[in-house]
Amino acid sequence: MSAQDITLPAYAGTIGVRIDSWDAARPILTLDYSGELCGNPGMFHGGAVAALLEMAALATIDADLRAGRGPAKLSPVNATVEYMRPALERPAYASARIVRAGRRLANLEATLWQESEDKPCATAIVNVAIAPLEAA
Amino acid sequence: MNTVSDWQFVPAELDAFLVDKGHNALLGQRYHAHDADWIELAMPWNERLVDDPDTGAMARGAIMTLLDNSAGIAIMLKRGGYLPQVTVDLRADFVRPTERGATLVCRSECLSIVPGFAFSRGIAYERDPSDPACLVTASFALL
Repeated sequence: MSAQDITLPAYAGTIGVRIDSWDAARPILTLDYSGELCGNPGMFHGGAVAALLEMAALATIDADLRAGRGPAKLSPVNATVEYMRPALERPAYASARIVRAGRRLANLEATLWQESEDKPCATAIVNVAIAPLEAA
Repeated sequence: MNTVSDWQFVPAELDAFLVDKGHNALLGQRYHAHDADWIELAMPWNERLVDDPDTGAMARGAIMTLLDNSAGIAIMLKRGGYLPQVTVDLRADFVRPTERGATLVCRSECLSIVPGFAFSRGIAYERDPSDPACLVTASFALL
């Protein structure tokens, strides 16, 4: 897999999420801090944190399906975010792990960090519905 | 628990805070309505908030910001002031895609406040609270 094979949702452009790099087949997403992402003073808004986690989960299952059984229509059913430490005024990174990828549902665990991956700022469980692509 | 007994909720003050700066201003969120037990925040539809240009549905990332704000402000109302708090856990259910062009409203209520923590839940809808697009449950640490 490589970066050109997946497309981030349009909203990624609005807040500035982009693909930073690939860890084997898993995309690592990044988001630079800006005043437009601020919640409590000096920190990312919890909603921006949630958005980056959700996009990391979606990009990860998208990349996995494209490399395997083929692209599908992906719709997150729910996301549960745990906030562990504030995400401060520096770049944030997020990646996700597929816990299970079934035929109609994938369960992913996403992690967002700044300094180092073993000090997560937030994690999320994201459940994604998988459906065939509609005929173009 | 901190309370400010003589505090009064003034919607215009909340709006001033929301539109002033930061992520709330980027997303255009503002006060919509409230009653004794709930508050509604609104996020008008905007092309920049869309996930999929084909459907016009709003991005889940933008929606989660609305849910977080609404659930959090419901707690501030019950605490009686804009007191410091942080989100501990936010669960969002995306029941269906939102409608192109429609303002999304999130109505939240604070269900419980205990020492150090508070809990709220809400629904997001475009026209009718009985037809929700999203559900939210959230907990907050009170600082």
